[in-house]
This record gives sequence, C-alpha cells and structure tokens, in this order.
Amino acid sequence: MTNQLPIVQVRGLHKRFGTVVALDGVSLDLLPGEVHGFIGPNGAGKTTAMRIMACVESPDAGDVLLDGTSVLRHPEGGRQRIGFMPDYLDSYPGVLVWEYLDFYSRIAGFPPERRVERGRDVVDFTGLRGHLAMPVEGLSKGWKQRLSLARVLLSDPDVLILDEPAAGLDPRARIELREMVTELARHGKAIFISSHILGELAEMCTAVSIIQGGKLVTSGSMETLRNRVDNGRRVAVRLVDDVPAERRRLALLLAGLPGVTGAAEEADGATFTYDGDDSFRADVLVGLVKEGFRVGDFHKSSSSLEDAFMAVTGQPEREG
Amino acid sequence: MSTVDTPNHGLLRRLTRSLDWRANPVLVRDLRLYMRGRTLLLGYALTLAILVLTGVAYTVAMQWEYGGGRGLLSMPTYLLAVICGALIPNLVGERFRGELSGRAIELTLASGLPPARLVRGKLFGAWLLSLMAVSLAMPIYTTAYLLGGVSPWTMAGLAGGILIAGIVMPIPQLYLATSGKRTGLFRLVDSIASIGALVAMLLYAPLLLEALESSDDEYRVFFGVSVAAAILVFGFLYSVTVSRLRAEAEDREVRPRRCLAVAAVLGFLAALATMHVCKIWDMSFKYIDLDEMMVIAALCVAYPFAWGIYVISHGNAAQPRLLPSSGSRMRRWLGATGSDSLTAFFIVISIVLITAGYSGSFLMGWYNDGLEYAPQLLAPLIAIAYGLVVYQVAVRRFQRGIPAFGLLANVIIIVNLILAVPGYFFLVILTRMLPYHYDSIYYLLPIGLLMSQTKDRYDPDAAVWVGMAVFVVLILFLLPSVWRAWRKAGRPKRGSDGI
Repeated sequence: MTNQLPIVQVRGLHKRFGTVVALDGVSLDLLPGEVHGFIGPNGAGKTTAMRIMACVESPDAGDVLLDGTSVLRHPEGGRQRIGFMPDYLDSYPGVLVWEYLDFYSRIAGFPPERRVERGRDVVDFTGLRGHLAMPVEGLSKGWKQRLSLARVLLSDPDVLILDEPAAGLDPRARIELREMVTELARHGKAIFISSHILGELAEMCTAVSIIQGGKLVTSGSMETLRNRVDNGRRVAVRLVDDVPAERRRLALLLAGLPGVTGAAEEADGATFTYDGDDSFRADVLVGLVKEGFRVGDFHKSSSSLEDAFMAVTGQPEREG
Repeated sequence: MSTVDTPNHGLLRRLTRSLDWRANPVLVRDLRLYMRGRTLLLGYALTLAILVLTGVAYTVAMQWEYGGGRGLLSMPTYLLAVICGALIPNLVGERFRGELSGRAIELTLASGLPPARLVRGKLFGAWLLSLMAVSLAMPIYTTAYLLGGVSPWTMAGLAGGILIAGIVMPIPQLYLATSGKRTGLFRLVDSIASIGALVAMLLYAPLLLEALESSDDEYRVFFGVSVAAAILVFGFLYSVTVSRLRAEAEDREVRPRRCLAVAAVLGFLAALATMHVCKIWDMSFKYIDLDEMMVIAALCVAYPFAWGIYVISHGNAAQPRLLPSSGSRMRRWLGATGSDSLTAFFIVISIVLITAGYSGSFLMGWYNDGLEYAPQLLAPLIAIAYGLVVYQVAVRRFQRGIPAFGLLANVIIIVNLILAVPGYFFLVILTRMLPYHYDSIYYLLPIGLLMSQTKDRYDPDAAVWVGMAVFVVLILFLLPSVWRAWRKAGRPKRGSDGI
C-alpha cells in the first residue's frame, strides 16, 4: 500500500468565513483502499475540508486533485467519482426510501436495467430491503445513516467522504457501520471519515490526519502517529491481584524510576513509557518482582488513538 | 409468459425504456409525491366541486341574457385561470423555496444534477399539474357546448389561454424562490416586476382574442408582441434562476454587476408592461370592460405585492426586513412572524388605500364621477388585501391540525380574491342606492344567488345581506388578532434587535 500513488491529493487548502479562518494550508493524501480518519476538536475545520474535497464548497486557495486532475476546476468529474455523506440527511417531505434511492440513481445517469441492478446491490449491502416502502422522515437515526450511505454508493464512487457517520448511533449500529466501511475499503475504495469516537476510528483506520484550528497537525499511518507519541517505547504491566492500593503503588514506583518518562495507573495495573532498550525493560521487570509485585503480564503496547490525539493536540512541551 | 417479443412489444418496450431513461429525475420524484398525497386528490375533488357549483350558479344567473353554455363556461374559466396561473405556481414555488432553505437542494446539485435540469424538472411538474386541472374542466366544457352559445374555437382559446398561464407563471415563482437573503423591499419589488410583467404581457392575450378578429392590423400586431414579450420574459427569468442555482452549486456569490443587470432589465420590462397596460387602456373601451381592466390591473400589481408580503412573512428564521429603516413599533410589526402582524399590516394598508382613493378623486375634481368610479378602482385592491388577511388567519388556524380544512380555506380564499366578493360587498354598503352597481353584484355573487335564486326572478337584496353577514363575521373574527398584534408590537422582547 505504501507504494501506491494517492488517489486524492489535497494541496494547501485555505478557507475563510468572514474573519474566521476555517482552513489554513491543509494538505494531505488519500490512498486507494485506505480508511483515513480525520480527527479534530469541534470547529477545527473538518467539515469545511470535507465539503471542499466533495466539491460542495470552494476554497479561497488550494486545490484538490483526483488522479492528478483538479476537481475544483472540473467538478463534474469529481462529483461522479467522489461520494459525500454529510452529517445530515437531505429529505424531501413524503418521499419513500425507494423513491429517494431511485431519484439519485437517475441523477447518476444509469440506464434502467443498470439502475435496478445497482439499486439491488446497494440495498442488500446496507440492509435496507425491509424499509424500502417507508417514508424517509420516519426512519430512525441509524437507518437514515444507512440510507445516506446507500445514496453515496449508488454511483459506485472511488472515493467516499463520510462526515461523522457514527454520530448518534447505538453501539450495534456503529459496529455494523464499521463493518460496512471496512468491507468497502477491502473493495479498493478510498475512505475519508471523520468522527469524535476515536475508539471506533482506531478499529478501522489505517491512516489518520489530525486538524486543529484550521491547521493540519499531523497526517500519516496509525503506526507513524503512535510512534510519534511514544516512539514505540511503551509497556503495559498487569498485576495478578486486583488491589487498588497495589496499582497505585506500582504507578508511583514506575514514575520514580530513572529512564521512565511517564507512568499511569490502569484498570488492571499500569503503563509506562521509557527511554532505553530491551535490557532496561528487563531490569524494570526484575525490579518490580523484587518489590513484591505479582506481575501477571508485562509486554510492549501501543498508544491508543486517544493518547495520540491528546499528545498531538496537547501542550507543546509534550512533543519531542 | 411468452419469451418471444413481438415487433410491437419490442418497440413499445424500447420506447418506454428510452422515455424512462431520459425522464427528468426531479419531475419523476415530484410527480410521485403529487400522485400519492391526499392534497392532490382533495384539491382535485374540491376544484371540480367549485367549478361545477359556480358554473351552475352563473348559468342560472345569466340564462335570460345569454346562451346557457356561455354562462356555464365563464366562471369556471376564471377559476381555472386562478388555479393554473396562481395557485399551482405558488405551491410549486413554495415547495422549491422549502427545499432550498432546508439544504435539500445542496446534495442534489452536489450529486451532479445540472441546475438547468433541476429547474426544468420543477417546471415540467407544474405544467403537468396545470394540464390535470384543465382536464377537470373538460366535462364542463363539453356540457357548455351542448347547451349552446359557445363555439369550439372559443373553448379551445380559453383552454389554451389557461394552459399558457399555467406554463408561464411558475417561472417567476421559481425565480423568486432563489432570491436568497435579500431585504424584504427587494423581494417585493422583484415580485411585482417579475410576476406583474408576465401577467401584464400574457394574461391580456385571451382578452385580446376579439382583437384578432379586427381588421385593424395594429391590434393583431399588438397581440403578437404581447406573446413574444412574454416568451422573452420567461426566457430571461429561466436563465437567471439557473444562473443563481449554478452559483449555489459552485459556492460563489452571484456577482453584484449581474444583480444590477437583473434589476435594470426587470425595471425595463416593468416599464414595458406599464406601457402595455396603457395601450390596453386605450383599447379597453373597444374590447375590454372597465371592470375587467381593474381586475387585471390588480393582478399585475396587487397580487404580486400581496404574494411578496406572504413570502416575507413565511420566510426563514433570518427574517429580512421589509424596509431598510422604519419606526420601532412598525418594525416589530413587520418583523414578527405569524399571521397577527400581517393581519394588522393589511388592515392598515386597506384603510390607507380607501382614504387615498377617495381623496384623490376629490382632488382631481371628479366628485360625481369619483363617487361612482373610485370604489371600483379600489375594489380589487381591497379584495386582495382583505383576502390575504383572511387567508393568513384561516390557513394558520386550520392547516395546523386539519390539512383538508386548510386546503379548503386556501381554495375559497383564492376564489374570493378573484371574484372580489368582499370588495364589492363593501362598495354595496357605501353605494347602495346607485343603480350602476347592480349588474356588478349579480356578476360576482354566485353563492348569494344560489341561496336566493328562483326560476323566475332573482333577489339581489338577499345576496347582499348574505355577503354582508359573511363580511361582518370575518371582521369580528379578525379584530382580536389585530388587537393582540398591536399590543404585542408595543412590548419589545428582551434582547431582541427589534427586527
């Protein structure tokens, strides 16, 4: 995958709304078959960037290239290959689900037989078959999201831009959405997805971009992001006995060790980051056992996406 | 099932497939909605009932003067013109306005649908609705022909004129729906210029049908110029509507110079329409009655004015101001949403118009004529204003919980508008002793006539009393709303910016 050429290249996007700078030189790449998470606090510029990439808005400066062709200068081509799922569902009062899908499949310009076939595939994929005769306004939030995804998939785009698709969904619906997104990526589609549920993104994303205050703070694979946070030097210690006092003692002990750069108590033990090599890690383990801790598990672990996000968007002294 | 396609089946299948593929997506979606909803069925049934009712009433009223067929045809034709020229375009425009404000159009345009195709889909839907409405009248037209007094060419001309109105009038509604965030004053002027220009240039055409039979070439040329000008205006409004949608799709502002150009062209067209009206005025004594002239003048100015007010009052939360600056209390009146402030506004406007009309007549030294003609000049304006007031209150009261009543109220109010019934009731109260107005009363009181008519004689007094009773009851119904609106306007909301 690392040798693939990006299918979407975003270059230097700038956008201002009055005196508010929404985007300030955002650049990133999207690869085919990649699930690229887009994270940022509220008002960071995520939706603006996505709308520009989907040719719904135009930037003040910058460009979006789709296989080398600017979609801003040639939006017709971009709209056919890029599917945009916003954080709202456009609904026309009284329209039924099948009419809604038929409307957008007609816009896509399919001949009748292809329209029926494509509609059937999309309906089966999103599980909407039992809801085709329902009015769109009568659908629950989860089914509306499925319908919105179905609309996007009708034209079989190469790129999917999903703006907070999991917002407001129950856990089961989120899991099902995650499975659909993963399946689409397996079929070679490039997926650009934003969400506030970092745990969900961590499960399915292969790359992440973090935006803050209109500026892109970091962009790259998940591995790169985690290494940026802890450089791969992070260990999880699990204690056999579930004693809160022991966990606290463990965390305090680890934090006080020379060479340990940070330690935190966890539900079943503690984690710590360190400067050093494998021998340092072994020495720590020996030391813990000597102190009387009953260590059940001691292994290298990666930072969570939450940790990475907080580290990257947090205090400047935590970087480097 | 045979697996062999006969040549005819194959051709039909290919034709159907071709039409389906090329069908406008917006048209298909809207038609499905229209066909499924209760509104269309109810509107269809009510329209048919009202057409028959008024047709029969008018026939009974006029049968001693004209052939029964002509009587049966006249009133339904007027009603159909209102339905196809005003009601259907307004409904389509309202729906489009709602889609634009609710961001529904944004994704549609982002999906690749060309703006021109979207506008054409809306237009085709409105045209098909008008065609359905005209088809409602076909049984009545057929019966009228059998009763005698009308020729097939006259019927074809009338139906054609209604269809032309149905084809042309939706475009200013779609154009006005794309106005975006502009002040109320701009929207009012825009409404009068776009709708009024089309009405002036085109709806006169059926009335000029008699001019076509004239040996004077000037009138025939004028008829042709009217139709050509209407087509030009239609094309201009269509292109501006598409251009605005394209700007929306490309996320850019419509350029100021283009706005000025639009304003300049509309102003020119409005001036052309005014000259047109004056020319018609010259011809009016030959081909058109003064009553008809006044009603059409009201349609050109008062109707788009009233419609502009309606659009402003039913606008989005970001309510545009009507005027750039005004007194604080009046601003609170105009700025408040809901029917109460609009009710108060129209009551005030009506009183001002009546006073101004009579004063103007006196000042011009037409004391005697003024008493006779001034009420007639004001009648359409009063009727429009009164009708909008009742419309606001009735629609708000009924449509919230009982859609059928709301639709019934809509249809009845529109009928009242064009018939100018309340205005003439008011005039009758003032000028009861003038014999001139007796004919006008019979001309416009089908409901009263139905209640009082016998085979041998008619009783105008009964009709007048019925109308006065209706008028008084409605005024009493409205007064509490007016009083509440005035009191509410006197108490500014805390934190309000006064708009």
